[in-house]
Amino acid sequence: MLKIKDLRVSVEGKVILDGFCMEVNPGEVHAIMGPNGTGKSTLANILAGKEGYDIESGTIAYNGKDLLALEPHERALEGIFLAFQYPVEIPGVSNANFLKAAINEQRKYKGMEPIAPNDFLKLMREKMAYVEMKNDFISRSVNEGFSGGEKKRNEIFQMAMLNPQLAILDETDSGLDIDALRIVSEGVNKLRSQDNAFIVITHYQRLLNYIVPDFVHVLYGGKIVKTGGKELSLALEEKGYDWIKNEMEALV
Amino acid sequence: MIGLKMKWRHWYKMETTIEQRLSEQFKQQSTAWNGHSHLPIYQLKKRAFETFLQKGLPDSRDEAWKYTYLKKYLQEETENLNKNTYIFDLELFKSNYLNKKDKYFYWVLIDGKLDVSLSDCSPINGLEFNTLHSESAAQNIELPENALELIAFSLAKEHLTLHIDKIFDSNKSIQIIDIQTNKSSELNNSFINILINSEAICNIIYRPITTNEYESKLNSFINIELKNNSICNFTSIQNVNNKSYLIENKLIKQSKGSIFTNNQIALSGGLLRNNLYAVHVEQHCETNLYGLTCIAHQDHVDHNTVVDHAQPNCVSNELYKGIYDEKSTGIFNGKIIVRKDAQKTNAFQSSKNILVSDEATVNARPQLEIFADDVKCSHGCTSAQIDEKELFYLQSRGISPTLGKSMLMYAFAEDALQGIKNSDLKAEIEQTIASKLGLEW
Ligand SMILES: Nc1ncnc2c1ncn2[C@@H]1O[C@H](COP(=O)(O)OP(=O)(O)OP(=O)(O)O)[C@@H](O)[C@H]1O
Ligand SMILES: [Mg+2]
Repeated sequence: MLKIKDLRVSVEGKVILDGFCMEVNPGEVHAIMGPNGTGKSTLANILAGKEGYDIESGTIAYNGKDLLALEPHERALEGIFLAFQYPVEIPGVSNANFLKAAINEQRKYKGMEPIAPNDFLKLMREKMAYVEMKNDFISRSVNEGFSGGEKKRNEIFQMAMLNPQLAILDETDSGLDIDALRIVSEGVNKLRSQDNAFIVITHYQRLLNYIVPDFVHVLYGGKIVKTGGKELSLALEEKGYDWIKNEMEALV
Repeated sequence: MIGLKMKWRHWYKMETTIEQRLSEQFKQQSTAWNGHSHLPIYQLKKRAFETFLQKGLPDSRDEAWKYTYLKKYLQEETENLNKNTYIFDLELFKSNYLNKKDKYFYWVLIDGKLDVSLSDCSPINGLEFNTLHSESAAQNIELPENALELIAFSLAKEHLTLHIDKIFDSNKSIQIIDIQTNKSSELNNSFINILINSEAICNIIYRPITTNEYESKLNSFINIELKNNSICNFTSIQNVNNKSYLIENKLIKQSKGSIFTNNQIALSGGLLRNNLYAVHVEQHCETNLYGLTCIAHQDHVDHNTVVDHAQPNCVSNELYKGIYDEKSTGIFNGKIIVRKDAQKTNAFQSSKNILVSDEATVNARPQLEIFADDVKCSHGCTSAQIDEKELFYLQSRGISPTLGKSMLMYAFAEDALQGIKNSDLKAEIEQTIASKLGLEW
């Protein structure tokens, strides 16, 4: 589904990712961990098509297509979804209008008619229940005045509405209280299937207790330096990143 | 032959000034006053017209008319008139505009005359109306000062006066529809006089309409007086074809504790010129001026507002937003005057505009004239831009940049509609703006 090869990316002359490789197949959940500032969000943003990154070399193939040649909205229409680490507030655009527009763009792309208002409301209600969203949320502006946790929940709600093939969750767990963490994780688990895949960026084991990953990767020095199963995240929780850093230095 | 015709037209234009054409119009109309011309109202109209002739039309030497060359618009003659082919479709008009009798009281002016059969002329609790011919027509009226108000006052075929009282039920809004069906290139004029008594509350909508096919020029003068503690929420919706010109003059006098809110919604029109002058005659008044402009083509909108803080302890808020596409042009001239005695004045003004195309232009000028020292005043004119982060967020959900931009422009416009309390009206305006921006909700 997703093949990233030898990616080298810099921002304002500073190299962030270098020699980054990753492969994701349908049905898999990949966790990416790594110290602050190592480029996890950078990777997520590049997949979503955010501007401002210098992609110096490497390729990203998504379902055989050259992902880097697609516009951000085209990537979304092709099934990529990024749950942002810092979701943007959009005053004046209601959640309902926002999601209706997004869903209708998707339907248009698939050659379908716009969604009927009743069907839309039904879908909204159903998916809101996934993440236990409050009702007034429909008419409120996108993320405006939302608490940190509500914003994260809203990301998962949008994901549920759009039903992507590849979802990237960038620290969706940070800012969530214990109940919200469970609610959001259960929301994600309901969406897991043989046809879709998740890349979960997180610093903490507790999320991975709920969303159990097939692979855990450690990002350091611009690339994935260690890959393991769910036990790797437990080891990291216990020992921190130092042993990996030390291992790396020993190699050099 | 063609050459000859051109020459004649040229000669005609050179020789007949606008003032002369208006004089001719005035002469014709005064013949219709037969037998009444001694009445005070007609005397007043005569004086108004004479005063106008002394003043003449404003031109570019006048600061307030620097960017709108009025004479050019008034001079222009209507082309391709075929008076015989056009029939005003009354039934269509009724079903399009008079279809919410449960929500509105309608007053319909057709070519400047009140249409009694289409208007709510039967008695309404707390609302009285007068026309030009009523006994009290000249009451409460002072001769206006500016040329366009003088023209409207003297040339209006009707003087629609509404008296609103405390017992009036403000759950229903008053809608004044001013429709032009005639195809003359002459200036049409309306005079509307609204007197709001102590503690009365009302929502008023003013909707000038021109027929789709024809161009017309309308100059209206709306005089509003608010007595103690009264509240008036006024909305003007300007959405006419690109060949039509609307000049709207509003004069607002506020007494103690009154609240006046104006919503100026400019959506389409070759020329939309709006003059608004609000003065506080007594203390503790509040004036809210909202404006939303969303135009394209070569439409030209020129908003001119003056809030005259002549008394202490008053508040004014002004927010004008504009979205300009294609070759449209916009002017915002917002003046705040704080007179010497007007201590403890709070006056805020803001004008924000988005230029959608490179060929659109906006000229925004705030003007503060402050003569008191204990005042809080702020103003700002900004040209807004589509926020790239917001756009990316929308795009990341599959929304095309074109649609995303439209959504963000719609969002930008939204808070300039905050003054509209009538939800039905607000929904209508939102719908119009959405479809103008290419949104399908
Ligand atoms: N626009 C930018 N300009 C300059 N530096 C940038 C920019 N964007 C990212 N960086 C830098 O790139 C590095 C990687 O940032 P990134 O946000 O990808 O880290 P991260 O792994 O997601 O960290 P965290 O765990 O704190 O979220 C950081 O050093 C950051 O300061
Ligand atoms: Mg990050």
